[in-house]
Amino acid sequence: MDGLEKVSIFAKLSKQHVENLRKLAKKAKYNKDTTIFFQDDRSDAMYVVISGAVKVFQTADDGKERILNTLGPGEIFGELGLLDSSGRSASVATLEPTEVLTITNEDLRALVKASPEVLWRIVEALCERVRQLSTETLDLSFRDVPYRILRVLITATSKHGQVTDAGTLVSIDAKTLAGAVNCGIDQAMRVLRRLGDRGLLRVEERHVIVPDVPALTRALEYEES
Amino acid sequence: MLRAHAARRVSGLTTFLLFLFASGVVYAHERFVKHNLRYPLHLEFFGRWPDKPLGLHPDMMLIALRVAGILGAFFAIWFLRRTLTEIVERSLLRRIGGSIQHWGHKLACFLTDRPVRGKLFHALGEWAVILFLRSPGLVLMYSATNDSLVMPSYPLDPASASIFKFAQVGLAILILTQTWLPLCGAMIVGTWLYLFRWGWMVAVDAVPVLTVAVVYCTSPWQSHKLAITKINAQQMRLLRLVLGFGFLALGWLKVYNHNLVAGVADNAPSVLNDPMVAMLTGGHDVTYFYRREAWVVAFGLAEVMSGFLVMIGVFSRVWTSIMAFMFTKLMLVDFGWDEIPHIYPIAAMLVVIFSNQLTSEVDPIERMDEDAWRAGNTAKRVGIIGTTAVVSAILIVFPLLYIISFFDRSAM
Repeated sequence: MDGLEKVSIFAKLSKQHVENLRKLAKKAKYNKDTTIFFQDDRSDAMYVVISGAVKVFQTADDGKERILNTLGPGEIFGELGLLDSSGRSASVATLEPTEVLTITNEDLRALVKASPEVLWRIVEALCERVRQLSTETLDLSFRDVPYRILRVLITATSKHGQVTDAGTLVSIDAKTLAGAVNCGIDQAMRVLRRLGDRGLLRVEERHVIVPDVPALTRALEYEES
Repeated sequence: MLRAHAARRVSGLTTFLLFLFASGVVYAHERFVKHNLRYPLHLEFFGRWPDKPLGLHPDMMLIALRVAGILGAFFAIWFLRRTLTEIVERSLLRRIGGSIQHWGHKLACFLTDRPVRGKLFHALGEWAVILFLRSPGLVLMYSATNDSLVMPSYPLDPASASIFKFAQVGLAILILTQTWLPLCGAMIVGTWLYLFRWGWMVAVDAVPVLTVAVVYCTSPWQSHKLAITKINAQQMRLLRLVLGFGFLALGWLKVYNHNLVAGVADNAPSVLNDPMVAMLTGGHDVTYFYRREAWVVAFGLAEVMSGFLVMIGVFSRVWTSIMAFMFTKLMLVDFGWDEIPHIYPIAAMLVVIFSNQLTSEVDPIERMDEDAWRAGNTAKRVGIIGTTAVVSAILIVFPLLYIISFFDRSAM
């Protein structure tokens, strides 16, 4: 089983349609730190994360990266270019070993023709992205860096945190965090150290371990007030 | 109001400058580089051969066919470049991942004129723009100290030399301090127009000088208050068009004015050692009867090809890199200090190489090809790519080569 029927955009499809989709879609496995596609590439497929986690990021001319989102199992990416036929607006790279399902442009069109419900699901996913971007814009305008870092950490923990004996493990480092909240690496490290001093998290090489997720959420509420 | 005032100021100063030039700046156009022929060329090679295809010498025809073939191949690869790089990136680089995948992707982007996003590349791009915008000032200062106008190839008339030396230093100061760049552009265009007084060949020889003029003319009047480290997409397009057209025209001029080009080669034989020209001439050895003649045609057409591809924006980075290498070799190895003003076209080429604002004149055709690709219409794609490649390759090489063969250039 590949869990395709559990993916939100295909959840309402009939068994027959899911079976047809399974025949069309191709599975691909990627190692950690592998770019699935780059910004400006041609859009020829849409992807569904089956397992693992990916980051969606944009790179400026001077090489600075800004992380737009991190995605986990059941989430889709690369759907934007299929709808407006333009190049990729961002790059997507794996944060850990990841398995994805690839659906080509042609196959998706055929699927949408047979089950228009799929298109609505894609539109819903796009709406969620727009809302998320609006929130991020608001955060960037009015919130300070500690608040933004906490928010990214909590989202990452809930989306693709791995529960271990020591707590919830998130594959994220200071550089990635800095890119996600648009601040310097030094500043991101300072905030992480401060949160670590308060016992809210432990920073390890390319990982953050959160011993108590509700406590981290409460910290965000305090930052908010 | 301010705009009208500025326009009056420019037209007034340009008129004044042209009036000065009218008194006779350059008293002779002599190639500073020696170009006397050691022994005459076999001129029949360049003339009519009535019983041969297009009336051209078979070896000239062969060179032209090779150039057209390369042009056509580059066009075809241009339209297929994304498909080709996708195959490499997906089948090979994705499996490797990490920094090797990133560097491989950056290399692919560089070769296919796509944006290269990186700190070093960005810094080099900014540095190239600074060099490009200021190097004409250095060249003018150099020429003023050598009693010449812009290049040592244009010596000043001793009677009015001091005036023009001061004029050049004045313009150089404006350029180096980035003051009134549109005025500097107008002055360079005015100077170039004046070169027609010494014949069209002199003006064609200096077309690449206009690359910086178009950027100056499209810069803001308050340029002295700005740190200009980038040029926008419109300026880049103008720069590419002028630079490419300059070399396209220079290439045809080389074929037309064969004695001068062969004369330069006679005096600096190292210029004959060029791998691309050797490939176009078919690798004839030194005993080949028409060796120098074939070299002149191959050299000229190679410049036509590279100039044309830069002009329309097909693999601009690749071709300007080759040209920058050639010019650096000419400056450092073949001719030495005499060619030092060529630091200016090299700077223009560096701007193209390190730009992330590259566009192409064949973008509309590429969009048609992209639509066919999305629709999965392979036959339409083959038709679009094939027709563009073949028609462009034929039109760029053969009509002018055919027309030139009717002209008797033995007295040049």
